[in-house]
Amino acid sequence: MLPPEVPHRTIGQFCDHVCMYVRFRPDHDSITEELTGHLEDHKDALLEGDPDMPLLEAEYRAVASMGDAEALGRWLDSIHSPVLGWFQIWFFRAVVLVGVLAFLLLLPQAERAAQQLAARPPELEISENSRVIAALHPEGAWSWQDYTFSIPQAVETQDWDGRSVKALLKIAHPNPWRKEPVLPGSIWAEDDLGNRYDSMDTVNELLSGDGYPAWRGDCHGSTAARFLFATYCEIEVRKVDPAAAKLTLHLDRYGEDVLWLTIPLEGGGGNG
Amino acid sequence: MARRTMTPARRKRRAIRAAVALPILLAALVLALDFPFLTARGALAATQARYGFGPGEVVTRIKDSRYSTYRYIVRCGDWYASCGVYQRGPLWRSGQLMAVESRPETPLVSLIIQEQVDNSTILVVSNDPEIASVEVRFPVIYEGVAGWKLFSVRSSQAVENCFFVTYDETAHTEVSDFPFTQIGHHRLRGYDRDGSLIYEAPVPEAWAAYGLEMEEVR
Amino acid sequence: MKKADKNLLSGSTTLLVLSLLSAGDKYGYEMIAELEAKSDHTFTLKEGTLYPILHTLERDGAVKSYEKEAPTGRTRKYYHVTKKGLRLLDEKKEEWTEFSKTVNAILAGAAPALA
Repeated sequence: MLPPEVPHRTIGQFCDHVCMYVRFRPDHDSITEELTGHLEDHKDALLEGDPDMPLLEAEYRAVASMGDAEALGRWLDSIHSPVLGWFQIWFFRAVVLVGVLAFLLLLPQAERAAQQLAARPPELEISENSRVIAALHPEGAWSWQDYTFSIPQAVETQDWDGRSVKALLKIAHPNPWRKEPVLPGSIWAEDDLGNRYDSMDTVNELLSGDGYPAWRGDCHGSTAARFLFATYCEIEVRKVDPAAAKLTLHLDRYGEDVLWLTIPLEGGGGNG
Repeated sequence: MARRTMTPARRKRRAIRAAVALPILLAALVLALDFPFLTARGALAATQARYGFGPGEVVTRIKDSRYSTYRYIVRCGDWYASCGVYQRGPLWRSGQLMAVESRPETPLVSLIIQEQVDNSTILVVSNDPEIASVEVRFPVIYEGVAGWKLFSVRSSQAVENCFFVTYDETAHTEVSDFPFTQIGHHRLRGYDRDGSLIYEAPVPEAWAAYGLEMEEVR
Repeated sequence: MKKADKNLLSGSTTLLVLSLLSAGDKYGYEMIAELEAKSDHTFTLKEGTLYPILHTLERDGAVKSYEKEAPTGRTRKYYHVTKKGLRLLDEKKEEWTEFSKTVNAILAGAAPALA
């Protein structure tokens, strides 16, 4: 028989008593589970040694040998920090929220997002009425602010309008928050003979005033494709002087001439 | 997780896995939202960069709570730009930019900032420190009256050298057919502190089509 | 229980627990039973100190726990000592050796050898 001053307690009561001193409630279940397992093992061992012992007494003995519930509880409380525990719980919940939000918002946008991420650049469109005279290979790149300009593809064509040069202008922006630049309208060109081919912006301005002479060449720029890290524009310089051997693209921003990309032309001027 | 108990060790592993997934999920979220901005200023910087302007210093900011838009008036050298940014929820997006150059030989230049039926605004940039108020004059048709007359709107509302002239169409129902927001159809005037006219822009070429009499009707 | 007593007790108990685990993974009651057996029933590890020590060791990364199903159908939580735990065991062994050397020296009447 157990001494009368030892409180008779079941495994469940003992665990509840211990957990009373553990502030971090989410760990109560795991502590209870572990202590219960241990106490049941002890109870089984006692019964194995003395098969005639009543089940309840074996349970009381096992619990008694565990010691003081309060001491155990307070010690466990000092190990199971509520600050760290709650932080881990709320951090996980926050990340789940971000994940759910991202999924819900991305689903209807999947097509747009995939198209923006597509890595394949577009190619120049040549209309059936033009005859491609030469494929040009302009070199170099020009960096300005958040953008880097280069010409991956350019051709010279001949059509009813005369000589034209079509260039695929690549505007690279490694910062995706600078995507969709509105620059093609202000790109103008100049050839080595001093002829000027005005930008779309200039042409539109003059059209609303004096008008634009029909015989003059211009520089028609438009956006062809928009990706996260690059924007592609088609620049077409129309009515190019047949004797011109070089064409230079400029970007004129609010009084500042910020871009110089030269396209060497084959034919014209005698030299290739 | 429903069957197995959550232990400190499992919770820790779960939090670490969440921390690893977080940057990927944030990237997906940013992609889904199409790269918004957390602040209006961030969107402003993007608007300027995308148009190749500046970056300039902010002169003032106009708020339009109806459409959750801000318009920043930005100055870079002699150029003045109206930059739009708009708000969707807590996030901001880049808008459009329109600019005008204030040349030393032209005391007043103008730029359309807003075009709404009950609230159109024109920015008039002044080069002349003597000018204390500006006036925008434009042709209108009065109900029941034949021929075009001149209408004028005056304003001394300014921040530094930028004047704001606003017009509310719905407040003037007797007037119809007026190109308030057509730049080539304005004639600008500048008045000094005493109210005397000190500058008047040349007659716009477009007025020849209106056959205007030079009388003013307010 | 005073904090100092706790440290004294937990110091040697930690040593024993790590030592038991270094011989192989064990679950809670198994450690109690084995210790009793090894010390010929002269030494009984107070059960109430076992789990706080195990939880502290797990929190500090000296042991890892996992669950395995017992033949009785119950799921038992086993503890496994990590490399960090083995290093801690060596540390504690050295501490204990130094400690007992000092105590023995005092008991023998001689001045403790200065380290």
